[in-house]
Amino acid sequence: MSDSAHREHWRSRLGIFFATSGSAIGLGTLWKLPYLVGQGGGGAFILLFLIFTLLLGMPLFMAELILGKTYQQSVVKVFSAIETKTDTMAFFGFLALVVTILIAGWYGVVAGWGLNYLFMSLTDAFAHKTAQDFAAVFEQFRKAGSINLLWQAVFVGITCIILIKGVRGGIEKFSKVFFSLLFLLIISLFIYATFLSGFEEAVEYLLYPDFSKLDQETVLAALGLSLFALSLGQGIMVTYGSYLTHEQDIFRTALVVSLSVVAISVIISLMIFPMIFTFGFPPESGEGLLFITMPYVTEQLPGSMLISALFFMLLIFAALTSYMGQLEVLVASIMEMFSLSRFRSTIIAGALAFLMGVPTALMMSDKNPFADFSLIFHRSFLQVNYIVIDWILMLFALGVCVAVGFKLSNKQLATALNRPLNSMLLLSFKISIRYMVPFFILLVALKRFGVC
Amino acid sequence: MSNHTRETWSSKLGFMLASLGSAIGLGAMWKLPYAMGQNGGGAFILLFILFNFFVCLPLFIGELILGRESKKGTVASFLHFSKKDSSWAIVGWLIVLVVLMILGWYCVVAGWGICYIVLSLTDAFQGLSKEEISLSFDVFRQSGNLNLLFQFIFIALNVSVLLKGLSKGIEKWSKFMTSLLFFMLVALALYSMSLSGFDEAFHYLLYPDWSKMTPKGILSALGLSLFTLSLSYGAVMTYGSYLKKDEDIPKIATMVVSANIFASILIAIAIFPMIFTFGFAPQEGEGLIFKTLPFVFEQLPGSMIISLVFFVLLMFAALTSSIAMFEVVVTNLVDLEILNRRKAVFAAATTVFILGIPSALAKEGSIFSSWQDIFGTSFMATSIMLEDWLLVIIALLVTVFVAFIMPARAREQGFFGANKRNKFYRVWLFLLRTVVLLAISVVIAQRAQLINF
Repeated sequence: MSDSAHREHWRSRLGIFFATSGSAIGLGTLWKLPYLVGQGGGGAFILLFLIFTLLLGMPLFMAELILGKTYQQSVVKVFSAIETKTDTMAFFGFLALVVTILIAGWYGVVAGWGLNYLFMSLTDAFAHKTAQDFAAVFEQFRKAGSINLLWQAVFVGITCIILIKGVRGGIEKFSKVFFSLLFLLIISLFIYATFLSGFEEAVEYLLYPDFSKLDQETVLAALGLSLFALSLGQGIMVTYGSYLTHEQDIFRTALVVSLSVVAISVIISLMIFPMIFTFGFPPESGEGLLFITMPYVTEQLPGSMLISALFFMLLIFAALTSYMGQLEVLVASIMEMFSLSRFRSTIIAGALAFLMGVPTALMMSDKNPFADFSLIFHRSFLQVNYIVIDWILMLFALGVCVAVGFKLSNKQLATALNRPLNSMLLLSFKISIRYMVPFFILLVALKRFGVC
Repeated sequence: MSNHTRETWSSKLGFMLASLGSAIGLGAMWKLPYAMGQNGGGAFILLFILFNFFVCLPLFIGELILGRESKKGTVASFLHFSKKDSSWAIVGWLIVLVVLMILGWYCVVAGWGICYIVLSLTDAFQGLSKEEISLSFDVFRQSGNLNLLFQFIFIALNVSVLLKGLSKGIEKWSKFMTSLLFFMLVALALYSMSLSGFDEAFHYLLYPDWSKMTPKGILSALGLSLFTLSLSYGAVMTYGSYLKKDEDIPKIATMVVSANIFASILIAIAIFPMIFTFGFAPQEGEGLIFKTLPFVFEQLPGSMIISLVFFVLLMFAALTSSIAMFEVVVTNLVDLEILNRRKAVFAAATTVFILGIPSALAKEGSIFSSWQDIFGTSFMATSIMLEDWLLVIIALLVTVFVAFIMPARAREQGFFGANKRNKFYRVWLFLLRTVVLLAISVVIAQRAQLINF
């Protein structure tokens, strides 16, 4: 398996779809997106989100796949192969590794919370608790460092077992199973939500286009969201692209995935908000939504145990298909950089990701290794982590634009896209990846700097 | 992997005693007798027998067929009957997972049993009051090292049997221990009959209280029956994979199921007269085995021997069950050519030891100290509830697989063995496709609190 000449490839187009959309739909889709949509003006925001995803997210998504497909190597090797004279581009490859390790660190921990809460709901630990009780339990749970570590280890372990089985037998097969289950869960919980009394309010909140809210702020928010809603900027799609064969079509995959991700995101929002509106909670985002409000709310609903268990299963499957992609970036890179077997590099990548998660897992416990962190940074370790990650994501995305827009020849692009040299698709793709996408990324970055 | 022909049981009796030993475990000792009394005595027993024959027996036969016809462990068995690379293998792995989770706490509790054998031998409880005896159990639980030590000893006993393989290890020892278990059980039951509390116990256990026959009572009888035969633990499939081609599966399955019912009732008859004689309320779990009974034994004539016999019986019951569970894991590792038998035994034992640590140290509080606050129950209780979930889901999937997915030819071949075709096959398949499926779905729905009485 260490022989890179015999690179594994995806078995089917459906498999590619499952793996890439599974990677795109993760924790962010659950705890951030619905809130942003509601705050940004509902229907109008969704429309913007869709347009930006097609105009910006999709070209970037294609660009990452093209890089992988063209060079058939892991992300680090791809970037050092683009520019052989100087080593300038190689930097971006390492950037992808850094950001993946950073994300994988907290991601495994939070997904582990999901496991904890799934098991709590199955053992009826939610019964007869008030909203305050849930807040207290979550705090208590966060303080129990060893239990956080336990679930993180279980989650990372499950992912490693899948990755050890390789691209076809592992990622593709399990993405299919998990994503289908995820889809089934989303649809059934959505149907359930339509019967709740808060459904109308949620529809109005999420879908009714409030154009008065559409200011510069929300346009930029929609922009930022669509750039990263497809799990771009981490090298995942470069890595997944490297498992494409020559015949497998990038454009069609990108189009289908973009549309599905937007559609599923909207459905997820329409599933979560009716539940919390039914009990008069204000819209919110983040940990509080997933681990305090949702457990409380589901506990009040008819069929409580089933609903809460299904919700946390949904969370775990969403996180798992995303985490597989993140860890695979590391696994593939370690495999090729050090010529190790897939088994060994998976163990190393898993151990690395687990170690990176330890500070997050122990953040609230007495044994916190970085107890002074928040005194210095005035933010929690996790928040600083998020901010740093966002910056690196944008930097890496710019690197991808430069690599595909300027370093790859037209011929390479045409081959990767399976289109003739003079096709409209090629031309418009090139223009957007050269100018439009970088322009908008810079816009989002400037916003972060507080310039506009 | 050195020998390509799979070992088989050297006798039918060996297989039956091993399966029985696997079915009669801690649950049969500390949960079932109590459930019998609480849920309506004779009426419950009647239902228990009914469910055993119409729900459990068909599934038992199904699992044996899966094992025997594939001649493989749980994972490879599902692969054998479905398309290569099929997702059904996940069910096989789920079985391995649930067995490992169970073994984790099981070996800790069985370790307590060993500790109590030593305590009986040294006559440590002589002259102690009820409170003192109950306190000494609490002190023992708080001493993490001692718990780990006895857990280790119990796992080591398993390893020493498993290393010897099927006929010289599992079969020989299960045969020995299960026969002795039956012998001791009968002796204890006879002894109990001479006690003054026998009448009360007899009434409590066997007098049919029809008012308890509510839907809820019926469901709890169903739930309890489903797990008394160690179905969906993979043990039946695994032991079945060592059956000879010509054995008559329906016949031996019926015999095992009947013997298991008999043993379950016998255990209740052995235990309850003792505790009624001294005016204790019926109870279950750790409290019954390690607090009440040691005190009761101490009051009886021939206390030391009674106590010794009881804890040896407990250990044998636990050991024959844990060996079967270990074998599920080991067979899978060997059949999938991941490890050879020797290494697989040690790998499984190490994993189980590690998984048991949180249960062993639970009362000492040196690990997961806030578990109780978060989950509302102990680590062990949480783990048991999760296992119960996994077990019912596995039971459902196995039923669907045997009833609908596996090739009809293999199913028939397994059912008939060397016999001529007969009409029971249709009855069996019909039961599997309707009654069993429905029963398990109802149990799941009740667990998910979708139906509530």
